[in-house]
Amino acid sequence: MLLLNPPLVRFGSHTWTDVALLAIDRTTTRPAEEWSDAGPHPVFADAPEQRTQIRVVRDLLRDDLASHKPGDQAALTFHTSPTTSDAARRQFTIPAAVITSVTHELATARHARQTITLIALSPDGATDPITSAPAPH
Amino acid sequence: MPSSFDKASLFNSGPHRFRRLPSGVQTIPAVALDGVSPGTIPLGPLELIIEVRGRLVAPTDAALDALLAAIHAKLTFPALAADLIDHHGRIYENMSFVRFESADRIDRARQVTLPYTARFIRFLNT
Repeated sequence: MLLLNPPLVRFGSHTWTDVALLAIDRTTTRPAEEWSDAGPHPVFADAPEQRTQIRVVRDLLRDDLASHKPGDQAALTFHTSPTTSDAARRQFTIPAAVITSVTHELATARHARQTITLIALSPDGATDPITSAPAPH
Repeated sequence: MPSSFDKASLFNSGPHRFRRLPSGVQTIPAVALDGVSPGTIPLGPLELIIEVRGRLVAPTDAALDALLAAIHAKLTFPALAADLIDHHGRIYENMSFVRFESADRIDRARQVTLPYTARFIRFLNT
Protein backbone atom coordinates (compact mmCIF):
# COMPACT_ATOMS: atom_id res chain seq x y z
CA MET A 1 0.00 0.00 0.00
CA LEU A 2 1.29 3.44 -0.91
CA LEU A 3 -0.25 6.75 0.10
CA LEU A 4 1.01 9.99 -1.38
CA ASN A 5 0.57 13.12 0.69
CA PRO A 6 -1.78 11.60 3.27
CA PRO A 7 -3.65 14.49 4.84
CA LEU A 8 -3.33 13.32 8.43
CA VAL A 9 -0.83 11.04 10.14
CA ARG A 10 -0.78 10.64 13.91
CA PHE A 11 1.56 8.63 16.09
CA GLY A 12 0.20 8.54 19.59
CA SER A 13 -0.28 12.15 20.66
CA HIS A 14 1.99 13.46 17.89
CA THR A 15 0.73 14.72 14.56
CA TRP A 16 3.19 14.22 11.78
CA THR A 17 2.97 17.02 9.23
CA ASP A 18 4.50 17.37 5.78
CA VAL A 19 4.20 13.65 5.07
CA ALA A 20 5.16 13.08 1.46
CA LEU A 21 4.35 9.40 1.40
CA LEU A 22 3.41 6.53 3.61
CA ALA A 23 4.24 3.04 2.42
CA ILE A 24 3.16 -0.24 3.96
CA ASP A 25 5.24 -3.24 3.02
CA ARG A 26 4.07 -6.71 3.88
CA THR A 27 6.64 -9.47 3.69
CA THR A 28 7.02 -13.00 4.96
CA THR A 29 10.00 -13.61 7.18
CA ARG A 30 9.80 -17.40 6.82
CA PRO A 31 8.00 -18.63 3.72
CA ALA A 32 6.61 -22.15 3.72
CA GLU A 33 7.24 -23.70 0.33
CA GLU A 34 6.98 -27.35 -0.63
CA TRP A 35 7.73 -29.35 -3.75
CA SER A 36 6.45 -32.78 -4.73
CA ASP A 37 8.07 -35.83 -6.29
CA ALA A 38 6.21 -35.10 -9.52
CA GLY A 39 8.21 -32.22 -10.94
CA PRO A 40 10.17 -29.03 -10.49
CA HIS A 41 7.48 -26.61 -9.40
CA PRO A 42 6.30 -25.85 -5.87
CA VAL A 43 2.91 -27.27 -5.00
CA PHE A 44 2.38 -25.45 -1.73
CA ALA A 45 3.19 -22.02 -0.39
CA ASP A 46 2.05 -20.09 2.62
CA ALA A 47 3.31 -17.26 4.80
CA PRO A 48 3.21 -18.39 8.41
CA GLU A 49 5.39 -15.55 9.68
CA GLN A 50 4.82 -12.08 8.32
CA ARG A 51 6.10 -8.59 8.91
CA THR A 52 4.13 -5.41 8.27
CA GLN A 53 6.49 -2.49 7.95
CA ILE A 54 5.44 1.13 7.58
CA ARG A 55 7.64 3.86 6.20
CA VAL A 56 6.62 7.44 6.73
CA VAL A 57 8.58 9.93 4.62
CA ARG A 58 8.37 13.58 5.58
CA ASP A 59 9.78 16.56 3.75
CA LEU A 60 10.97 18.87 6.49
CA LEU A 61 11.29 22.56 5.73
CA ARG A 62 11.82 23.59 9.34
CA ASP A 63 13.33 22.25 12.53
CA ASP A 64 11.86 19.07 13.88
CA LEU A 65 12.61 18.63 17.54
CA ALA A 66 10.42 15.62 18.18
CA SER A 67 12.48 12.96 19.87
CA HIS A 68 11.03 9.81 18.37
CA LYS A 69 13.41 6.92 18.81
CA PRO A 70 13.54 3.21 18.05
CA GLY A 71 11.43 1.25 20.48
CA ASP A 72 8.74 3.90 20.88
CA GLN A 73 5.30 2.31 20.67
CA ALA A 74 1.99 4.04 20.02
CA ALA A 75 -1.08 3.88 17.82
CA LEU A 76 -0.50 5.03 14.25
CA THR A 77 -3.47 6.59 12.48
CA PHE A 78 -3.68 7.98 8.99
CA HIS A 79 -6.36 9.02 6.55
CA THR A 80 -6.70 8.45 2.84
CA SER A 81 -8.42 10.95 0.65
CA PRO A 82 -8.36 9.84 -2.97
CA THR A 83 -9.93 13.02 -4.28
CA THR A 84 -8.57 15.43 -1.69
CA SER A 85 -12.10 15.75 -0.44
CA ASP A 86 -14.15 14.00 2.19
CA ALA A 87 -15.52 11.59 -0.42
CA ALA A 88 -14.48 7.98 0.19
CA ARG A 89 -12.18 9.10 2.97
CA ARG A 90 -10.97 6.18 5.07
CA GLN A 91 -9.13 6.02 8.34
CA PHE A 92 -6.48 3.39 8.87
CA THR A 93 -5.42 2.50 12.38
CA ILE A 94 -2.53 0.44 13.64
CA PRO A 95 -3.21 0.10 17.37
CA ALA A 96 0.37 -0.79 18.16
CA ALA A 97 3.24 0.39 15.99
CA VAL A 98 6.86 0.35 17.09
CA ILE A 99 9.46 2.67 15.63
CA THR A 100 12.53 0.82 14.37
CA SER A 101 14.42 3.73 12.85
CA VAL A 102 14.36 7.49 12.32
CA THR A 103 16.75 8.71 9.65
CA HIS A 104 17.35 11.96 7.80
CA GLU A 105 18.59 12.62 4.32
CA LEU A 106 19.85 16.14 3.82
CA ALA A 107 18.74 16.89 0.28
CA THR A 108 19.49 20.61 0.16
CA ALA A 109 20.43 23.33 2.56
CA ARG A 110 16.77 24.24 3.04
CA HIS A 111 15.17 20.84 2.93
CA ALA A 112 15.58 17.50 4.64
CA ARG A 113 13.82 14.21 4.14
CA GLN A 114 12.96 12.29 7.29
CA THR A 115 12.09 8.60 7.10
CA ILE A 116 10.44 6.92 10.06
CA THR A 117 10.19 3.16 9.88
CA LEU A 118 7.78 1.22 12.06
CA ILE A 119 6.71 -2.37 12.61
CA ALA A 120 2.99 -3.06 13.08
CA LEU A 121 2.06 -5.39 15.92
CA SER A 122 -0.96 -7.65 16.05
CA PRO A 123 -2.87 -7.78 19.33
CA ASP A 124 -2.95 -11.57 19.33
CA GLY A 125 -0.78 -12.78 16.46
CA ALA A 126 -3.72 -13.71 14.26
CA THR A 127 -5.55 -10.41 13.80
CA ASP A 128 -4.30 -8.20 11.00
CA PRO A 129 -2.41 -5.29 12.58
CA ILE A 130 -4.08 -2.75 10.29
CA THR A 131 -7.75 -1.89 10.46
CA SER A 132 -9.65 0.52 8.25
CA ALA A 133 -13.00 2.23 8.49
CA PRO A 134 -14.75 5.22 6.95
CA ALA A 135 -13.08 8.31 8.34
CA PRO A 136 -15.13 10.37 10.78
CA HIS A 137 -16.13 13.77 9.44
CA MET B 1 -1.03 -40.77 -7.42
CA PRO B 2 -1.55 -40.67 -3.67
CA SER B 3 0.87 -42.50 -1.43
CA SER B 4 -0.16 -44.99 1.22
CA PHE B 5 1.07 -47.09 4.10
CA ASP B 6 -0.86 -50.17 5.12
CA LYS B 7 -3.49 -48.98 2.61
CA ALA B 8 -4.00 -45.84 4.69
CA SER B 9 -3.63 -42.36 3.23
CA LEU B 10 -1.53 -40.88 6.00
CA PHE B 11 0.32 -38.08 4.27
CA ASN B 12 -1.84 -37.01 1.33
CA SER B 13 -3.27 -33.93 3.02
CA GLY B 14 -0.20 -32.06 1.84
CA PRO B 15 2.93 -32.31 -0.26
CA HIS B 16 5.46 -34.97 0.68
CA ARG B 17 8.50 -36.59 -0.86
CA PHE B 18 10.12 -39.98 -0.56
CA ARG B 19 13.80 -40.44 0.13
CA ARG B 20 15.71 -43.70 0.19
CA LEU B 21 18.60 -43.66 2.62
CA PRO B 22 21.99 -45.13 1.68
CA SER B 23 22.24 -48.81 0.84
CA GLY B 24 25.32 -51.00 1.07
CA VAL B 25 27.15 -52.70 3.90
CA GLN B 26 27.05 -51.83 7.57
CA THR B 27 30.62 -51.47 8.85
CA ILE B 28 32.31 -50.71 12.12
CA PRO B 29 35.89 -49.57 12.79
CA ALA B 30 37.84 -52.46 14.34
CA VAL B 31 39.29 -50.09 16.90
CA ALA B 32 35.80 -49.63 18.31
CA LEU B 33 35.74 -53.33 19.24
CA ASP B 34 39.18 -53.97 20.68
CA GLY B 35 40.73 -50.53 20.98
CA VAL B 36 43.92 -51.37 19.08
CA SER B 37 43.25 -52.91 15.66
CA PRO B 38 43.20 -50.92 12.42
CA GLY B 39 40.73 -51.42 9.60
CA THR B 40 37.01 -51.85 9.22
CA ILE B 41 34.83 -54.85 9.91
CA PRO B 42 31.81 -55.54 7.68
CA LEU B 43 28.76 -56.53 9.69
CA GLY B 44 26.15 -57.14 7.01
CA PRO B 45 23.80 -55.40 4.60
CA LEU B 46 22.27 -52.07 5.53
CA GLU B 47 18.57 -52.13 6.18
CA LEU B 48 16.31 -50.46 3.68
CA ILE B 49 15.23 -47.12 5.18
CA ILE B 50 12.70 -44.84 3.53
CA GLU B 51 12.04 -41.35 4.81
CA VAL B 52 8.92 -39.41 3.94
CA ARG B 53 9.30 -35.68 4.37
CA GLY B 54 6.39 -33.35 3.90
CA ARG B 55 3.82 -31.08 5.42
CA LEU B 56 0.45 -31.97 6.85
CA VAL B 57 -2.14 -29.44 5.71
CA ALA B 58 -5.49 -28.86 7.41
CA PRO B 59 -8.07 -26.09 7.58
CA THR B 60 -8.19 -26.06 11.40
CA ASP B 61 -6.23 -27.24 14.41
CA ALA B 62 -8.84 -29.91 15.04
CA ALA B 63 -8.46 -31.24 11.52
CA LEU B 64 -4.69 -31.31 11.95
CA ASP B 65 -5.10 -33.24 15.20
CA ALA B 66 -7.20 -35.79 13.31
CA LEU B 67 -4.42 -36.24 10.75
CA LEU B 68 -1.88 -36.72 13.55
CA ALA B 69 -4.12 -39.22 15.33
CA ALA B 70 -4.35 -41.34 12.20
CA ILE B 71 -0.57 -41.33 11.90
CA HIS B 72 0.04 -42.14 15.55
CA ALA B 73 -2.42 -45.02 15.30
CA LYS B 74 0.06 -46.67 12.92
CA LEU B 75 3.01 -46.11 15.25
CA THR B 76 2.68 -49.28 17.26
CA PHE B 77 4.99 -51.52 19.22
CA PRO B 78 5.91 -53.97 17.86
CA ALA B 79 6.14 -51.78 14.77
CA LEU B 80 3.49 -52.36 12.17
CA ALA B 81 4.99 -53.84 8.99
CA ALA B 82 3.09 -53.22 5.76
CA ASP B 83 3.43 -52.00 2.19
CA LEU B 84 4.61 -48.43 1.69
CA ILE B 85 3.62 -47.07 -1.72
CA ASP B 86 5.05 -43.84 -3.13
CA HIS B 87 3.57 -41.33 -5.58
CA HIS B 88 4.72 -43.31 -8.59
CA GLY B 89 3.26 -46.64 -7.49
CA ARG B 90 6.58 -47.99 -6.30
CA ILE B 91 5.88 -50.56 -3.59
CA TYR B 92 8.23 -51.00 -0.65
CA GLU B 93 7.09 -54.23 0.93
CA ASN B 94 7.25 -55.18 4.58
CA MET B 95 8.22 -51.72 5.83
CA SER B 96 7.89 -50.94 9.51
CA PHE B 97 6.74 -47.48 10.57
CA VAL B 98 9.18 -46.63 13.36
CA ARG B 99 9.35 -42.86 13.75
CA PHE B 100 7.34 -39.72 13.13
CA GLU B 101 9.06 -36.44 13.89
CA SER B 102 7.16 -33.20 13.53
CA ALA B 103 8.74 -29.79 13.18
CA ASP B 104 9.23 -27.50 16.13
CA ARG B 105 6.11 -25.45 15.43
CA ILE B 106 2.70 -25.58 13.81
CA ASP B 107 2.36 -22.95 11.12
CA ARG B 108 -0.92 -21.09 11.23
CA ALA B 109 -1.57 -18.87 8.23
CA ARG B 110 -3.92 -19.49 5.31
CA GLN B 111 -3.83 -23.12 6.39
CA VAL B 112 -2.80 -24.93 9.54
CA THR B 113 0.27 -26.92 8.57
CA LEU B 114 2.99 -29.00 10.18
CA PRO B 115 6.22 -30.15 8.55
CA TYR B 116 7.34 -33.67 9.46
CA THR B 117 9.68 -36.55 8.74
CA ALA B 118 8.43 -40.12 8.89
CA ARG B 119 10.80 -43.08 8.88
CA PHE B 120 10.16 -46.60 7.68
CA ILE B 121 12.59 -49.51 8.02
CA ARG B 122 12.61 -52.98 6.50
CA PHE B 123 14.18 -54.94 9.34
CA LEU B 124 16.68 -57.57 8.31
CA ASN B 125 15.12 -60.29 10.43
CA THR B 126 11.63 -60.00 8.93
